Amino acid sequence: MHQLYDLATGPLLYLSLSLFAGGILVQGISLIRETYTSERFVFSFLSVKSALLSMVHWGTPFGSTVMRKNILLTVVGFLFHIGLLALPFFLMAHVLLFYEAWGLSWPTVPGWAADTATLFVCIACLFFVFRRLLVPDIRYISTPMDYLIPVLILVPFASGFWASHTLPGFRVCHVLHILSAEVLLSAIPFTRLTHMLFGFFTRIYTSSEFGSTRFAKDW
Amino acid sequence: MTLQQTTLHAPIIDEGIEKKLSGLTPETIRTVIDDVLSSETGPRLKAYLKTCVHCGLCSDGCHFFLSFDRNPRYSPVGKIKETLARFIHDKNRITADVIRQAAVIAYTECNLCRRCVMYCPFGIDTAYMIGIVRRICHRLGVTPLYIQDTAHSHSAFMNQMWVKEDEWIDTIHWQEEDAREEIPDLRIPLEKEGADVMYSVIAPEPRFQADLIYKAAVLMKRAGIDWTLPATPGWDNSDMAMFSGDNEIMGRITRTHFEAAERLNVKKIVMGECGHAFRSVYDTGNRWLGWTFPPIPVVHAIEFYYDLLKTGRIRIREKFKPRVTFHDPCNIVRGKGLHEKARYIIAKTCENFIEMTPNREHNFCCGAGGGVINCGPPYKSKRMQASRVKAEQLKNTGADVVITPCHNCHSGIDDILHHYKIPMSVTFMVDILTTTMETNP
Amino acid sequence: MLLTNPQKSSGTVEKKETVDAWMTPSDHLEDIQVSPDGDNVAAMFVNKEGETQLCVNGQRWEHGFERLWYPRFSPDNRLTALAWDGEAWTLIVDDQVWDSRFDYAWNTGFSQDGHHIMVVFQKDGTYGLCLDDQPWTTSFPGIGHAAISPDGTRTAAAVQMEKISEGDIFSFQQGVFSTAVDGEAWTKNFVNIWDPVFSHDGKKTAAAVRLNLYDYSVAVNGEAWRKCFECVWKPRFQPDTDDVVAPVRKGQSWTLAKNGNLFWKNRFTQLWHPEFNHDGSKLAAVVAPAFGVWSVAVNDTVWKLDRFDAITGLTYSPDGSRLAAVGMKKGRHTLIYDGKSCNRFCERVWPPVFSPDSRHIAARIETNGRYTVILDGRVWDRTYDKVWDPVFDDANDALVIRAFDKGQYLKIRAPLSHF
Ligand code: SF4
Ligand code: SF4
Repeated sequence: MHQLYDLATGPLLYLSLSLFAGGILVQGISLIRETYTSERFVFSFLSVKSALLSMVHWGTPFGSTVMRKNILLTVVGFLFHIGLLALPFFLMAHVLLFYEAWGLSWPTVPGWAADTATLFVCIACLFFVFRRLLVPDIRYISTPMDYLIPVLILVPFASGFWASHTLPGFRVCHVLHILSAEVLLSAIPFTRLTHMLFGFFTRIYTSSEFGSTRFAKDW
Repeated sequence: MTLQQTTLHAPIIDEGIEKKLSGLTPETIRTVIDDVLSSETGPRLKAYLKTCVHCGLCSDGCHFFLSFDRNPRYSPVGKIKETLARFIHDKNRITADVIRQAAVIAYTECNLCRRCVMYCPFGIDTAYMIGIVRRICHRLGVTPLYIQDTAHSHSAFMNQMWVKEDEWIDTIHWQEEDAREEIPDLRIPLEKEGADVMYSVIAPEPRFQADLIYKAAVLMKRAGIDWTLPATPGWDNSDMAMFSGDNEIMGRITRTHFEAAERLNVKKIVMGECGHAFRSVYDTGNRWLGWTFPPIPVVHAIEFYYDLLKTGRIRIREKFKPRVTFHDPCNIVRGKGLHEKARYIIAKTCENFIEMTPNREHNFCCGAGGGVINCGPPYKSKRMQASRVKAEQLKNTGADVVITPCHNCHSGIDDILHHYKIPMSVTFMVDILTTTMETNP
Repeated sequence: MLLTNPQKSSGTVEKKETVDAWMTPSDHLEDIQVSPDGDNVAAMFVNKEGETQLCVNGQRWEHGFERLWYPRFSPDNRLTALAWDGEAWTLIVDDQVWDSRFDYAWNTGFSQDGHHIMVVFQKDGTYGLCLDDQPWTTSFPGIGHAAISPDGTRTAAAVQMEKISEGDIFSFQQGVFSTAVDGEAWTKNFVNIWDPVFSHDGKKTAAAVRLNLYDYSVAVNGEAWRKCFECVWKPRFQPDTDDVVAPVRKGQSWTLAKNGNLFWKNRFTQLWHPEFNHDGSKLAAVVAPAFGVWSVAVNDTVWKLDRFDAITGLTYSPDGSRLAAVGMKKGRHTLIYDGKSCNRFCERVWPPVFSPDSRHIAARIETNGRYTVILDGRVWDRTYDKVWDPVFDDANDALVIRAFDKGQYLKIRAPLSHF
């Protein structure tokens, strides 16, 4: 177990961080480069103003029509994404790690809030899985990967929760937490999780075309 | 209000699709798909495909999905799953049957209306992707017969209805003669080099709706516009090749249109009330040719009427009384944001205006756009089914007249009104303008 | 600018015609045309009986017609118009009516020297060309892209060889189009034919063709190049060698091909209007080196210009050494020549005109809603309601301005030194 722990917090950590950072970087740069070489016209139509305006709408809960039509999904979706992105950075336990490694520290979320958020993320993952299973048009388009991704997210969050509360088997869960988080991190550039990067590109392009070429709102 | 849905008819046999299918082997199919994907698409498509999280939020954007009782096969992402996604992930196993289904989906179950784009959190352009499917089908020679015939007409005579050059000129002369009975010094000036405005129309106007040219002429006369029409190919601004996937002919059409305007050296092109043609000259054809924006400014009829009213070049004598509603054509609303200008014109010319809901950018497509109506009678019944939400939307207004400044919408809505027995008539904006405007300038 | 010399600002008015005076109050003026030499001005108007009439320099033509249209002067200063007498169409040239009668006639065209005149016609639902009152002996179910040889003795057009019913996409794809030269079709049919052109001696014809829905090529005298491309535009014959060049699209970009082989090294987002100078030593084309950026390329070298949105009106000087065009930027035009923009932007500029000695460039322009001419970058002081393209006199020392102002036609001789 110790060896596995050492592996997980040593080489595997660096491996996953590099896969994540490298993957994102390579994907992002090659997308821009390829656009420059093969679809350069795209740059002629980009508009910072339209892109920002649209992103403000899409970044605000209920700021777009589709969000107002899907109230539950909007609430769950926003909270889920906030939890997913913020928790790893503001958990007391994680901040301590940053402090130990680089001497950096910043405010953390109180334990009860962290717990609620973690549980929420877990429930949201299940919500997404069930939504996929139950809503016909979503089930129709879902691939095995689409079911796997919420699970990929669920595991590190659930195991982290388990370990932090020193519930039975917490040591195993701790290692599982680290390993699964690393898997998740590494998977980002290579699965649909890349939407976290490419979503910005597609949004910027579409919003520019809508806002500044076609003078129409896209929200 | 929910309208009754009719059942689907016997399977459609479209010779344009069937004939080439039998000769297609998985190898030829793969070669064409690979070639289109590798040489004609790029990072844009890649980003769309990688980003789509299969959340299904776009479903509610699509009138096909809604009209077909939320049948998953008609959701935007469902259509991509059955077509492009299969082409990519399953490319060694694409049979003629898959291509048949893809052609039917791409040509007749998506209006390329871009409504779903506004429902996707990432702005993924499903219409663009369906366009790629159409391109592949075109390259395989698998296109619905009617739209293919239209593309042929474009290629041969640079208009969509096989109108010969003399027929066009004759129609103009004849309209001029008719109009002169009303306004003796009215002119429909053909080939007036150096005029301010070149007016362009779509081929159904000289073919079936020549009165629209007459009305445009009356409007030009009243407003004192220095205008002209080309007597050469280029008078037709329509472009079904854009929708059949024949990009090369699309480019040739757009080039012919602009070169007619360049030859006449006009300041701008004013185009009649057509939506898809606007998309071709403002957005699609020009880009294929390498022009960022049209080399000569193109003004859609709505913008033109708006300017005429705003500057007082035409004045309204008496407003139109019946209750009117307005159908926002996708290609000039999501395509150019002309919805407020249209409402300004209506406010000036009509007494009773009832909004349709949803409206403006969120309006539902008429079901005819994107070349779907041009796939012809075989698909009409399906088109009517797919237009159920549009029919409900129309019916709920309780209006007597629906105005829509687009030929496709006009025909599409006309079909819907008949099919769903809605007591409403459909009209162009120019009809309203010419009946309400001051006749003594 | 302070005008000290009135002569300098107005030039010498050599001719003045008050067009309004030719008409009665019930006549409606339809069109005014001016001969290339500026000596004849023609007005077409409709009288109160609804008849169209032509009046040249105040003289009404003898022949009145139920309808006349498309009055155009030939390069040798003859006035033509298409005429309908209530039963048939014909052409009238300097008040002489052609013997040929058609169900429709249109698109009058001239040889370079103006000695030969062509129209496209339709008779009994079939189509052909008529050159100098001699209609083709064969006619076709459809026609387009009429062309006349440089010396004006031959005519060609893209023709439809057999009637097909609308909706018969399969017959269409078998190929029903060909090029007819003097009424005689090439031996081969194609799916499409566009833009037939003659060689300089008029002996050969070439056209852009589509072999099936996907393969484009160029056919010379009915034989397609052995190579196909994704798309092609109008070909050109090289004057000295009779080689054929055409813009071709390959690998999603454009370049020039000669006799079927890629010829220019550069690849462009767009390339069209290739033009040879008179001796074939220069080949220029309008190009887009990148998306949305337009320029001119001469012998495969691109002019380094500021970014233009579009370019038109490519014109060689008579000696073939210079080249000029019209550049468009943000809806405004300027002349560009010798690889540089003249940077005098105005609302509209018409295609440039060179002096016979190739030293000067003039053009008709619109500035602030009025019309005038520009010479070597200097704008003429006076503006008019309308002007036609300027003409240089043979001695290269004056520009003839053909203008219309306040109901009057003016032929003005403007010494070049007065600009
Ligand atoms: S473009 Fe329009 S018709 Fe096509 S999938 Fe999207 S919403 Fe439906
Ligand atoms: S809304 Fe966008 S991300 Fe979601 S399924 Fe549709 S296209 Fe994909």
